[in-house]
Amino acid sequence: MSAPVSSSRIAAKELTGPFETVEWPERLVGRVVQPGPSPRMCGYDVEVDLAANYRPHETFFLAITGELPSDIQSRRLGIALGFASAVSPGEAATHAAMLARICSGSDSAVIATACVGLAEAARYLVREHTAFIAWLDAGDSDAALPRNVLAKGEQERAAVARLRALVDDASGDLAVLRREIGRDAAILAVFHAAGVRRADQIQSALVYAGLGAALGEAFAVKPNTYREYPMNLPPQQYVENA
Amino acid sequence: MKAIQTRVAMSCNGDNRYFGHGALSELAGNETMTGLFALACTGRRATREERELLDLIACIINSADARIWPLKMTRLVASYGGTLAAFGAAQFALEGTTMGPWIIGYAAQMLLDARAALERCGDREEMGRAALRDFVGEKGRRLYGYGVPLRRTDERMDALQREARVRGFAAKPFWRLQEQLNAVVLERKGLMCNVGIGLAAMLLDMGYSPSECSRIPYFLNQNVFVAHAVEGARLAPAEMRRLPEDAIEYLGPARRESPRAKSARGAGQCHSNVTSDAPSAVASARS
Repeated sequence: MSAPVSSSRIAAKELTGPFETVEWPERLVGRVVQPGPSPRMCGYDVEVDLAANYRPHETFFLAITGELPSDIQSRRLGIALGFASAVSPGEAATHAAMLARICSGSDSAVIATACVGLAEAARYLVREHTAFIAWLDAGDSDAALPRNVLAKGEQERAAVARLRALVDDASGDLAVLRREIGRDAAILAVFHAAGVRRADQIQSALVYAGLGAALGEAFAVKPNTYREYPMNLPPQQYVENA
Repeated sequence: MKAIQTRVAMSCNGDNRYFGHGALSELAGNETMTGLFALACTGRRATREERELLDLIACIINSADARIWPLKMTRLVASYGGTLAAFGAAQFALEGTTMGPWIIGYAAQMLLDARAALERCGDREEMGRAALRDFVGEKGRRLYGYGVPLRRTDERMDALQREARVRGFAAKPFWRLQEQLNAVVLERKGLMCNVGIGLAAMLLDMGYSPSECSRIPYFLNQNVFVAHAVEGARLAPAEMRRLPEDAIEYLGPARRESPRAKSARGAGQCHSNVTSDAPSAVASARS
């Protein structure tokens, strides 16, 4: 063995650095939850008011927008969340959570994997629909739609028709659902009409929507079932010097 | 289903392949941890000289105060006692932000753009300085690798500059370019260079692309997250898990009552009689 690596140790009281040269705030600022014996969310008593009078998705809306939804917003949000909830094992987020379970990850590891995967999927979807979200924000329903949001087949058109039949559009602000848009775009349009409009709000809603299915699938898998897992789905081929 | 091509690895009988190399027959005993990271980021093996420089970079960017924002994220998640979740949690926030080694890639791209601006104006020195002044002053130009908060100079950049001189970078094109740019940015914006621009120049001079200039130093810096994940999980301090309530300053909306609570009160319904499984409460409130 070689000689030990040298080290220089300095007494803590002699150490000072850039973080010691300025004053820092002493308290952490919160803008949604007011902690305490009777916690409040955005000003509403959680235990006496929100838990008694509002569904979980309405409290979620309050948390991400700062305001409670109107009845029509609540209904639209609930429907859009429902449509976005079926995150199948074929989706990478659910698939990854299932693998975390197969690998005997802790419950929290499975949940964390699902959350990360869903968040990445939501980021990807929002990025793919950036032009469409801008189209929704502009509010000009006669303007040409971005081509990448058009329905890709009869199944998508049928799904959008089912969504259109569920949402109340007496005000006409969901006229876009009568156009040839795809399922994802239709869900985003209903989120938008419900007041979930910013990219961070949309991504939060998509994660909230998908978490149940992703976790349900993952925890239905038995840990350590490596041999029951389809190793070559999708196929990957190693190449050298490509 | 079409097969996805991967260049990374394959489990093979007798010896595992990794980026075209035998893990046991070629890499074991010959490659270093730094070399493996460089191979992972670029797909090609680093030379001995390159590995020495990458080790130098890893040490120079080793700024690991537990209070630094991303490292604090590690400590917060580690406070529940899990090492790997804590290690992972901090990583998500550092791809493509203003914090951490990932921005070195943006600084590298900026140097390439500055070089293109210089090339457009020819070789004359005075015109080159003018071109860099214009480049720095462009509307919306974001200057990656500049600004040194809380101290006069970036001690990491000072160290990198000393090492660069010793190791012959003074004559290399991107190192020279960043020195020119540093002078212009200081003159026009009053901003000191930080280690980001120096590393971008050094890595470009080593032949790495801007995206590799993000990935390589980022992964070479993982030791700082490991250190905090390990210690944070071992200590798992309750103070980190939950701050005292008086440490939170609430700046959200003032106390208010929801429309449904008001409606229920108006209808003579007591809140406590309304179940939290809301449909009946909601129906009541809407009626």
